[in-house]
Amino acid sequence: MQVKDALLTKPDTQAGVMLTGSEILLKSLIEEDVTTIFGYPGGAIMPVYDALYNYSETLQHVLVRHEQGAVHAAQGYARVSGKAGVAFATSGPGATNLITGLADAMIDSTPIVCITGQVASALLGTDAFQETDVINISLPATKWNVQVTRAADIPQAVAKAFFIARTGRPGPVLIDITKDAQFELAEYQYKKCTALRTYQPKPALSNIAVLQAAELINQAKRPYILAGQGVILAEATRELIRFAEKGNIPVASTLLGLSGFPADHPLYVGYLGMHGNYSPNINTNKADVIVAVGMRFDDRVTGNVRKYAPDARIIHIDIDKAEINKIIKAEVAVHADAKEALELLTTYIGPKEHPEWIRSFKDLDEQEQRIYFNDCHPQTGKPKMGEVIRHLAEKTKGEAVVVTDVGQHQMVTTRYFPFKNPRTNITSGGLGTMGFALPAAMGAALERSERPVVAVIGDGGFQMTLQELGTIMQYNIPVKILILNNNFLGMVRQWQQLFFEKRYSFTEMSNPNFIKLAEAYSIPASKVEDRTQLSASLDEMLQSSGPYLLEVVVEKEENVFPMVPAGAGIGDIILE
Amino acid sequence: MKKDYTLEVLAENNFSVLNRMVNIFNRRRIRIKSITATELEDDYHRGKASFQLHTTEEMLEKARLQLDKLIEVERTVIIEN
Repeated sequence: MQVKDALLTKPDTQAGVMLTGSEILLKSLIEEDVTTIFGYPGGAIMPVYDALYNYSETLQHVLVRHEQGAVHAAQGYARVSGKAGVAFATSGPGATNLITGLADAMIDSTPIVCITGQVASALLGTDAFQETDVINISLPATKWNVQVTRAADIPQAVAKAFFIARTGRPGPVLIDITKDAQFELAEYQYKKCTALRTYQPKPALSNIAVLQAAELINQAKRPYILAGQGVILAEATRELIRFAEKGNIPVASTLLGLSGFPADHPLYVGYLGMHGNYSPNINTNKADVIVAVGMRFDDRVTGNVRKYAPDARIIHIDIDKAEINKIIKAEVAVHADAKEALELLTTYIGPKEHPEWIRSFKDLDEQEQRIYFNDCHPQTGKPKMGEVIRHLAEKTKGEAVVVTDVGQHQMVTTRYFPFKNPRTNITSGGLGTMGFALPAAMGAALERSERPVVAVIGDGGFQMTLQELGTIMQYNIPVKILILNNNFLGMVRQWQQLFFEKRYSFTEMSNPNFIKLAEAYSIPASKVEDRTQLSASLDEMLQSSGPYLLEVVVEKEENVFPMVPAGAGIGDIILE
Repeated sequence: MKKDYTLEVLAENNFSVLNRMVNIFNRRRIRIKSITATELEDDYHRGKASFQLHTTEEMLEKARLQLDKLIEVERTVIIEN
């Protein structure tokens, strides 16, 4: 008993304590305030799992059903909390199964630390059982990675990993630890990493650049803010609101920026991009000054860059210097943390009014109203995705954490759910990873238990990671799973209809009985095929205390509009 | 217009750092005409790589910024040949 108590206390950072590499790893994670680990054991990481046996009260380990589930769960955990998510996997296939999540976290700037076991150092390069060169495989999908072959090097690797993952533009880090290092005894001493000689995560804010930006904004007649995820990562929502309000500048959001500026704010004009709102896209090409904050001018946002924002002088605020001038040339580059930059910029801009400019958004919005009513208030036919999301928004008052997968349901949810609070929109943006939502929602629900966590998923994406129903069952994770089932890979089908002469090549799906599937995992479930049942079923799902699966059979061949066709300019956005 | 440039990189001498650098060029299909990489004589923890590249000025600058972003990279210098 005494031994166990001693193990559960905060780690001893004094020199002189000899521990195994595995225990050193766990104590190091505790030093970094890790409380939850998503993982899957295997041969090359068994010493770590053996050490974990004694730490079960300090470190909650969630046994997933596939390593891809672990990494996406760590992403969901990180995205709702701002903390680094942690995933464990063994060598070989365990490690390669993490790659999709690493690539997803890399492009979506999500702080995660993945720990993989590796074969013993003497076996490296021998094609030993379950040996794979995960360091080189994960190279382009990590912000940093390192292989550790000595127990004594583990604390420094962990400290560096968390520092790199969390700071600057966040991202994924992988530590690969050989099995002999996990067994080896070493002196344990932990020192947090607060700086690295060759890495400057927080650039110094240039007063001159901010003054130049303010001058452009003060002269602008049609200024426009494009807010990206950088606002959320920098915790700059309040600063963005103050900046927008002082200059009376309309604010549009990117997909990952949603929830960074409240959707019910009068200056919020909507969502940018291929399936975003009409007015924010059209008016990008009318703006005379664009202030892009923590966004990277993704091709889904810009459409054809040669036709993008022809009249605008661009101010680009970003913590990542390589993003500035990468796609769109900036007249004023503010290489800085968004919070600091917005705070200073607000002091330099004058209070302004732009009533006609702001009204122009509302006028354009009227052209989108018909789509809204068709999607969200249909009277005939099968339920539509938009009306399901409208009901969900009304019932949760926009206060839920909504996790989406990839495809039509994702675009519909992000169009119609009014995100109000930062870190409530969790989706796979840059990589577009089908199968992301279910495990990411698990991670989110374990971290943010005070809000309902609803995973909105299509029937295709759900079947990519549905094995995680087992994890949800085992830990009774209160994820509300909302499957919008059209028995199609809907977005691909939409493109086939519009651009490939309706040749529906391998997009129609015969699906299993999702309700029986949920029942097999002891998860309560119900199915809606008629809109008269929709409201009551959503109530039942939201009022349930544990996990719940609700399948809504939606219109089979519904299209998501507006839409910027591939290769077109955003000004060519089509309404039908 | 594509031209020859030399890009010199000073970095920490860790495993895979050179791979990370080469990946940046490969991903952007930048032609590498030659690579020279050495440990610093007085400090083997640090190293210097010199890449002779055939690319446009714009692409070179984008690649340089990506190299600068690598955690281990200390400094990058472009020399027009």
